[in-house]
Amino acid sequence: MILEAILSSAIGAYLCSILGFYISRLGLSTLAFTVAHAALAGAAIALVLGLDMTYLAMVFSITTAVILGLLYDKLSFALNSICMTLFSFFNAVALLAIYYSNTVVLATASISAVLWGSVLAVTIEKLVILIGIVAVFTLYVSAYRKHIDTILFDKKIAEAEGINIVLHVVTLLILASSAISIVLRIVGGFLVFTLLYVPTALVSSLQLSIKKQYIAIPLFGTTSALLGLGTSFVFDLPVGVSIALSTIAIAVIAVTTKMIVMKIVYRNR
Amino acid sequence: MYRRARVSEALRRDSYVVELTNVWVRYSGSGKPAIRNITLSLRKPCIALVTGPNGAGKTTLIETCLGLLKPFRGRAKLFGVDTKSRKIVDVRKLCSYVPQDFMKPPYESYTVRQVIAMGLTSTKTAFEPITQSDEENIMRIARLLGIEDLLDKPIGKLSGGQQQRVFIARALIRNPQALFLDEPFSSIDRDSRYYIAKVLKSYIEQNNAFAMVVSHDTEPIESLSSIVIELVDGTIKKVVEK
Repeated sequence: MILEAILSSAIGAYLCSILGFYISRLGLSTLAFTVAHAALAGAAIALVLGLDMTYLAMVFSITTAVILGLLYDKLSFALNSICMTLFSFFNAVALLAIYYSNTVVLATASISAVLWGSVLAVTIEKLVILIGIVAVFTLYVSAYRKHIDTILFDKKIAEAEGINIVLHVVTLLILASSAISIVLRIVGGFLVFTLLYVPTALVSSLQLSIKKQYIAIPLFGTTSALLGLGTSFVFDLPVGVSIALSTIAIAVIAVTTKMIVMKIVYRNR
Repeated sequence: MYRRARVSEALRRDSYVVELTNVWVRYSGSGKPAIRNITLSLRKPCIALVTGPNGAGKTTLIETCLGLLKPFRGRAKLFGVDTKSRKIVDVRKLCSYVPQDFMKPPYESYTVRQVIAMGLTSTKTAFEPITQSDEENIMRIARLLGIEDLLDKPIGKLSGGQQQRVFIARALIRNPQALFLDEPFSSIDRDSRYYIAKVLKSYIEQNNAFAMVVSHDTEPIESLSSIVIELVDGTIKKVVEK
């Protein structure tokens, strides 16, 4: 069980952080945020219906990802407003489902797993699915590395040159929503976005080259997740909260250290 | 193969590169159209200069021609394909675009060589690498534009004029049938402007191609262009054919 928890945390954090890099550089953070909360709503509804949380979370998040991805080039500015409205809607649906699941089936442990995450929730089956998502992601990035780089560099020129932006946006969002649905069981519905966003935000602030970012972002995400997992075991804290706080703590330390080093360097010049 | 066939079909079906019929375009959240009632048909070979004061709708026009902006009224076609059609993605493979807001920040770490090679991406399939012949072409175009010494430098570290040359090089490496250039000389010094304008003119003549150049400063393109379109307040004020 411990090995499964370590592997799923490390692989899930790797996948979320590297997908977060693409999502952030493509300006899809709001879309991903909405997709993550669609997964939360799906998981919460599964509680009421007595279904597998991960699979219903996947159905909800992938459907949302496909719809938003296809609308991506049609709605432009309006898309953010739609995403924030959907985010509120999914949160409301999730809380309503949690309310009903608590009064109907008294599933407190399951509710905790949805909200705060649980290392007990990841089975071998889910771990295999997670590894499968990593394999698909690796194959996709290897095949379309040049296309993705071209879009990351300048989306408008890439579109004008005939690269199918919508296809790549939908693919990345589907991969992200699949990863989120599994990682949601470990980190919890409200904190899963931490692993998508914080590693990229930190590494971007360090202003590393693209090659170094590709290495630093998943390394930071994976290290934070394992540190959070360890902290959770030692202090008996909810695993999702521990991972989120570890990620943010490392980010704050790294940025503060960089600022101090820069000050010393400039003072000595 | 199927995609290439569709692109060739688009080329054969209609001899107009750009065909706008009573086109109105507005930006999301804005009530006022940026361009109004534009009707324009342009064939190749041709260099079309689009000029006019700030806010006249020049950038909107070029982005509408490429299908990056869609008309809410009227019809826009590129190589005979409606810009609202899904096929427009394939037709854009025949085009190159240099945007007005090209400048990359100092932390942008893609090298000049990588940026020029990105111009070839849309014609490559999954897993297809950059070939030796592509590398030779990159070097040839870089020499033509005087940026061969910058090939391994990060683009973010270059000056505005150098970056603009890199984007023109990326546009040319694609061997396009149509070039859409939005203020392509805005950061380039006067002497180099004339040289690069001649390079573009010679490309258009040798390849029987088309260029739409947006510029509020008419020189050096005006003397080389075959048609001058003057926009004022979102409408065509004057068209001068030479």
